Amino acid sequence: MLEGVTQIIVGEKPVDYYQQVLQEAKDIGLDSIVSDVNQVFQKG
Amino acid sequence: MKKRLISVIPALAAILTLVSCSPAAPSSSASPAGQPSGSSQQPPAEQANYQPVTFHVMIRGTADTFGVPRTAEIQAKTVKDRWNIDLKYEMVDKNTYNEKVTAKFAAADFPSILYYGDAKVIQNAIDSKVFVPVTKAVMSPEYDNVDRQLYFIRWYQNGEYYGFNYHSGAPETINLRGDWLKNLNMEVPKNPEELKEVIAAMTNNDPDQNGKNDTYGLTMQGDLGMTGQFWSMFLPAPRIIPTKGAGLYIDSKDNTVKTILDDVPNMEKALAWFNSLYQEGILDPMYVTLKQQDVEAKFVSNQSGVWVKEIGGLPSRLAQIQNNVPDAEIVAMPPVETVSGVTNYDLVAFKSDCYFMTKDAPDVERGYELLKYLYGKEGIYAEAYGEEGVEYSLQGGAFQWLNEEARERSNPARVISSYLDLQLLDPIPVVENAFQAIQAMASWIRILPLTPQQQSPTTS
Repeated sequence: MLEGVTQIIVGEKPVDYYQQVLQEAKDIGLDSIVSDVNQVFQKG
Repeated sequence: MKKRLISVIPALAAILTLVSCSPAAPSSSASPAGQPSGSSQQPPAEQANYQPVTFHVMIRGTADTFGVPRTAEIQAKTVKDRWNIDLKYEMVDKNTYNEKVTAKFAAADFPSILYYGDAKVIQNAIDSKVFVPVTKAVMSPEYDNVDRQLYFIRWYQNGEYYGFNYHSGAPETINLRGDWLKNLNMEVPKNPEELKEVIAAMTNNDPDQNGKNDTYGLTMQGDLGMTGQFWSMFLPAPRIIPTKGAGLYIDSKDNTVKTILDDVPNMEKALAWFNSLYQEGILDPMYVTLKQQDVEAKFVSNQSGVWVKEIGGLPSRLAQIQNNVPDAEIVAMPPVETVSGVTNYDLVAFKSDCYFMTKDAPDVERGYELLKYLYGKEGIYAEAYGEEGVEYSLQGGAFQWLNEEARERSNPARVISSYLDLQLLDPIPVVENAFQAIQAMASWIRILPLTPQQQSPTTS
């Protein structure tokens, strides 16, 4: 995530490259993290 | 709703350690942070028949913030008199602190008390019982007027408090060189567009009037640490950094945890803003290589004009700048309302950093008293001002320094950032100005009333 964001900030990649960065985060489990944390949070 | 939001953010922070723990907390006192009840009147150590013990306390800082030999002297005398404790500080430079702690833990050479903030290491230390609960200190009557659920929840697990937090009611703000703004004939910015204009002028228009092109409006950390206040100008959560903690936040509208990473339109707005700074050459191109201390060094040495820092840390940095630029000023940017109606600032009480007591503390009961003293009202005033009658006087209720060296050595940061209702004895304009700048935050979150007053602290 940091690498992709940095590439956008310094102009190596266009701003819409962010959607690919996001997809890569989802590929490694972003949605599961959000879901898991929500379950714990709602129980709390 | 705001109170609800505040109360659950620490719980979220605890969850984000991704370890099992109980998110339930004991009932908070819920009352506004008020004056603590004062130190308990302890009998002299001899009367209490305490056997002598040595507490090793490990803290971090830098050479210029270690101006504490006198503080240590005052504190050592006090704890010796009261609890027969021999207080031994080990002060480690912040740039090597984590490395030093890691080495000590590997060697099972634990200090009695240490200050630390690495969540994974802390969790391991709790799980392995290296860190012992400090619940008795947290639950003592001195803290009945402190919102424990707000300030101590971070390391509350399985019915015990493990971290002894000492701060903070002071938010981290975006700060600017006020004297540079004056030189540029510009106002304090109020939104991202105005901030960008200021950053551009501080880069291109010789803000320090030295005739050289040697400044940048903005520099920042390569790991994007301490940049949440910028990101949050565009995103629906305060002080959030997309590359840290999965960008999780609590949406108060439906009371669910979300990630700002999914907010593509606003993420792209934020990225476009940073990218425009870089492309226009007004963001330090070296930023990708910089660490926290590098960013600070650039700000205090007149190489950059914008810096994020907790308000309590501003006076000492301003003093450093004024060594070379006597008329230097630091002003805080007011909070920016985000797309979701919160601010880009928040409190810093939810950080991992706390004081922890280890299993090698020679006497946990006296350890509780030591924690309450060092990081309570008396210890904070000793650190900030020294000893009444030696460094300062309060005759007739009027504060007065007794020598110039003591004034220069003073360190009011702890007073400013304490959750205790402490008064600054010696007014500090940069702090007053910063708190004025963030008054708008009061409608979103609670901040502590820290208006400097010429009042005597209750020292008994």
